[in-house]
Amino acid sequence: MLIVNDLSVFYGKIKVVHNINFTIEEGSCVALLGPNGAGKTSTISSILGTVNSTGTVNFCNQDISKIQTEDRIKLGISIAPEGRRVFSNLSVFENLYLGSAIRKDRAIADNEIENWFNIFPILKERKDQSAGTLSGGEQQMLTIARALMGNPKILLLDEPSLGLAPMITKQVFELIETLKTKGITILLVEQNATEALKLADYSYILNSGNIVAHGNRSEILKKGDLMSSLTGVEN
Amino acid sequence: MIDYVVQQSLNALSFGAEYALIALGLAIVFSIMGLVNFAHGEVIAIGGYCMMVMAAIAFRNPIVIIIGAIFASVIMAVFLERIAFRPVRYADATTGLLTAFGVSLILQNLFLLLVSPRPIAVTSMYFLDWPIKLGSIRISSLQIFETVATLLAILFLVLFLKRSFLGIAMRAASLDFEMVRLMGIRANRVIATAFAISGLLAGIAAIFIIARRGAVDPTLGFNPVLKAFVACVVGGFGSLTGAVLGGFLLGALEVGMLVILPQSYGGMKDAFVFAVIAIILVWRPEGILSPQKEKGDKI
Repeated sequence: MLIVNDLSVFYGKIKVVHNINFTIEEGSCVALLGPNGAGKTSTISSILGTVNSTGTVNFCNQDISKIQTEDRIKLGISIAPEGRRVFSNLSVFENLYLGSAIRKDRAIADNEIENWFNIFPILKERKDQSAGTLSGGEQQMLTIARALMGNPKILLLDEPSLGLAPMITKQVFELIETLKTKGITILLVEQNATEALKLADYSYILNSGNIVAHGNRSEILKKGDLMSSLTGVEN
Repeated sequence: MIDYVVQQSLNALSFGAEYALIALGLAIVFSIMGLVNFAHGEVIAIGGYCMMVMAAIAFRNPIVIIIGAIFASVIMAVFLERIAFRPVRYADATTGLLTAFGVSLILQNLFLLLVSPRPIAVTSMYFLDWPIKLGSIRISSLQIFETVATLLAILFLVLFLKRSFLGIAMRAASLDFEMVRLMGIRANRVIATAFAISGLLAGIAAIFIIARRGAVDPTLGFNPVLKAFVACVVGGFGSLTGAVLGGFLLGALEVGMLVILPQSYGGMKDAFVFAVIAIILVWRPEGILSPQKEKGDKI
């Protein structure tokens, strides 16, 4: 479904991701793991077209490397970004409503929002409250729900557990597990490698902008020292 | 005495309405693009020149002239966004500011060269010049129309921003423009709409400025925009409510100073107004209703 080929990302003249390649099959959950500054978010940003990059990104048999960010979203790529980035000046309902932007029939949005309210009753309770007043965990739920409002083909999750309490982190990963069982294709960027490896069908380990290892959970765990130094996962 | 206070309050309301209209036009573009559009004054002037041309080619009907002026200002605002501001959209704020000044100067000089450096009378807005007497209070129809039109424009804007999808997207864009694009909403559409609304407000302002002055000249909009800029700063730049508040506050201060100051100090009205504004800014450096900033990352 998504093929990233020879991708490099630049901030000005500085190259932060170096000629990486990876593939995500339809319906799978792929994790991109690594320490701070490894290039995980830059890789996601290049898939979305918000940073300068070279190489190709092929999505559903179409080269999307040269098209505008908005057009990539319309093709079915959706993002729950790092740091939530809810629109704190808008209500919970309005945040979800904006998530339906790429839907041709916006009337469907109301039903969809009601579905999300059933899944997260706390969001229903606070639907008219401004999103900036929600707790970190509630904001993360809202961000994921907003990203799914457009019924995407692939969901990019950037550090969904960052800064959350352990209980809330557990809930977030349970939600991702549910999404996975529903067949939603997921690219999960995480520092919490222990939880991410449990979820992912396949993982890539990034360090200093290079893929230094890849494989399924057992293959990754066999890498021993490398994994514990980069991701904190003990074998 | 009460009549006198009411009279001056109505004057302040009408002055404030004019500033609020123009300040709203500046604020709506600034809140989304971070651009202080000093060329907004020339968008107002285009509305004025359109009124002049339409009156000259025998459109005596004021309604037709009003629609023409608003239409011309909207088209001009959207046109300027397309040719001047879009190419520098992602440049830093200084580039945008200099571009706006450049566009403003170019247009003023074009008006000088192609039309006339002298004011040209536009007198077709006769219905804005009717005197109205309510007891001992004397007001002109302009004051009523100006205040009512401003309040209606604000109401329309609030409804648009709260109820329509594009309006909600514009409010979101004022906080995180990139995230709005990541929802699949076209940046060009959101920004062009912001400019169209600012053009609409400029067109309405043009009608009232022309009605007040009775003539159009190349700097018709420049000075009002400077005043509106001050209104935006004192109200809180980027806040639409702040722009309206700042506009009405500035109007009230101007009229208040004219009333309070002895006649021999009348020429120093602006100095006293700005002194009060300086005090307000010492108290609230980011304006009275500056947009709330995230004090900490809620992650």
